[in-house]
Amino acid sequence: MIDKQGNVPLLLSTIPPNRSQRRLAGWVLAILVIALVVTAPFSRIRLAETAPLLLAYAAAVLFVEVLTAALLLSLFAIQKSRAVLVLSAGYLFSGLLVIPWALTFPGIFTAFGLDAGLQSTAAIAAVRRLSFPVFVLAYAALKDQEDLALWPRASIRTVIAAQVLLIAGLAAGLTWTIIQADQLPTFMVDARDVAPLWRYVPAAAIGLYLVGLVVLWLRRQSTLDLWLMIVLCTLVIEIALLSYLGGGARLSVGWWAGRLYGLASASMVLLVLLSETATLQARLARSIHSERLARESRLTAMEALSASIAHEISQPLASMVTNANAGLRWLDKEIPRIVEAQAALERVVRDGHRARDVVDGIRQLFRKGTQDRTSVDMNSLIKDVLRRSADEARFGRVSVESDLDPNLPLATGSPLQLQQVISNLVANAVDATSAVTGRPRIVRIITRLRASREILVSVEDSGPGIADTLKDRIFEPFFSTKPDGMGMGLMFSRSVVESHGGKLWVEDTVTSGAIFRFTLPCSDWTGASDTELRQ
Amino acid sequence: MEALGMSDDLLIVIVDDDQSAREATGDLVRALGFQAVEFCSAADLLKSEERGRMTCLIADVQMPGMNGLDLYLQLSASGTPPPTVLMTAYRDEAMRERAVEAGVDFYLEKPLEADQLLACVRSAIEHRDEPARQGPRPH
Repeated sequence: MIDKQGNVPLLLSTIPPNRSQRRLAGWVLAILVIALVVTAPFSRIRLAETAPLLLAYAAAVLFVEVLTAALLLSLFAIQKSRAVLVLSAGYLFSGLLVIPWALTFPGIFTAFGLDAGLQSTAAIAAVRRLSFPVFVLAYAALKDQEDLALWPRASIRTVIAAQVLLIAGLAAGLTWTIIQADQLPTFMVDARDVAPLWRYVPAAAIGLYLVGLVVLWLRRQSTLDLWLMIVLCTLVIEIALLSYLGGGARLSVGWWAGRLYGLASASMVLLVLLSETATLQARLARSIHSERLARESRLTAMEALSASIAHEISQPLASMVTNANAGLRWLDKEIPRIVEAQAALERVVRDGHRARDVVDGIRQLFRKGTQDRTSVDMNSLIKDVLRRSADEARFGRVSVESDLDPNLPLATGSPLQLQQVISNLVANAVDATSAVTGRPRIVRIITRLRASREILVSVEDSGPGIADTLKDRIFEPFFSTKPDGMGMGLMFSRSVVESHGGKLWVEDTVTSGAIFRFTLPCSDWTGASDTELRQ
Repeated sequence: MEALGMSDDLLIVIVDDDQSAREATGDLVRALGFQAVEFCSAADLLKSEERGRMTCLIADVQMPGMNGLDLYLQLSASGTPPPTVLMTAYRDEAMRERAVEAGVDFYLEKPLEADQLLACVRSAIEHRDEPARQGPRPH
């Protein structure tokens, strides 16, 4: 599960965003900006009786940010990336600070005697506002550093626990200090309106957000980076609404709109984490499924093979036992029948050789055959095959064309096997094309010499083509789309081509059919030295 | 031919498409004191003149064309079938059941052991109670 760079693949913090994720992020940003433009004209209207909603808002933010922190921590547990750890700390800190912020909000908890000084809420808000982008910046800075890949599991758990305790302690200590402080910066003139000093806070926050955006943009890699950029954009809009368009007045339309932006921005990473987790889960389930299928088909092939091996070997073995029994009986007579016993033993020897030949044959099959290799003229091999398959093609009313490179060099290999590959591909193409109606039925076979001094043979048809989902499966043993197909042809062809040092693959044609292409090294000096090396 | 001379009139027919198995079985049967004649297919046996003289049939189950059980059924259809031993290289319970149901006397798995084959052939011949054919007593 770990790639060459030591990264855990398929995690939100390691995979780059795909096109649809980038498009979605763009849409989200566009909608947020439109919403900003729509709310802007009304942002200074004050809404008097909305203070109780504040608690619901605070609860939602707390919930969302703590959950995000938890999910990021679980990501950290797998990837062991310091950057993700720091980001989760940012979410946790921001989420926890919402508690004292709401509890000290003027007028909310007066009844409980919790109403702290006029400046407390604003001071907490300032810390919360400025600390989050710092955490994001730290994330961006640490992101390319080496992961803590070597930490054992237990100490990862310790790190997580320590971080949670540290952040909770920090939030509690800060709250305590602010509430107990005699002298706090004067951010507010009354419960609703900000003092001139406050204006440094949004300015500083916007500055930090913009730096964060630039750093993330420059070092962007993963899906997480992309969505963090959107989060920072939302926060810029939030602060614009809260502090500028809403005139800094609490509980105005602009202020509430800003709060909603804050909530949206807090939820964004959570939603992305959740949906990516679900997607990855599905992808994992699919890949396990296809892995199992592949293993089953390998098993089926193995079973078929071992059944035929068992049969081939058990026949001579059974004969050996019978012959030995006969020999014993001949010798067991009152007058031992030496000549007959001798004949029986000779048959035992013959059957033993036969069993050994079977075993040798199997061994040959798996040793990537270097036997019977000669120089092969692919063009004339193809002409032979086409001459022989002409009847079949005429029967399916398919026109078979060839476009053969007259200067094609020779290949090295087994002419018999290569001929089987070509006739297999041509037969498949003719079969696929003969069912076509409404367009010409053409099979074209082309040879070319590639710049890399490889011979390229293409068999192109105007048939219905091959569905993407089948493209890999058609090369599996016993997989066939034909009612009477054995499903061995393409598997055999691929293994022959690969044992000759080439490649066989399938492509789509420009129109609708399929092109099967294979390459072979040519038998000039490179090919020759290659062969020598192998021997 | 045989020292004890009792089985010259007892003709055992062997049908197997595999040459080495056919020769081995034929020789074992001869070593056990019977006369044996070998055929490489059911069709060859049915065409031959030995068809009417056989005392016992030993046939392979898996053969191209007509298999051993088909051969037995064909012989049953055209009169009293000879005592029959079918032999096979594969364990196939369904085939064994069908064979026993059809009246095949013995169903053996290869490789054939001498004592087992001898017992089967003797028993197959004796159980048929054919007055003209007394069981051999080879030793």
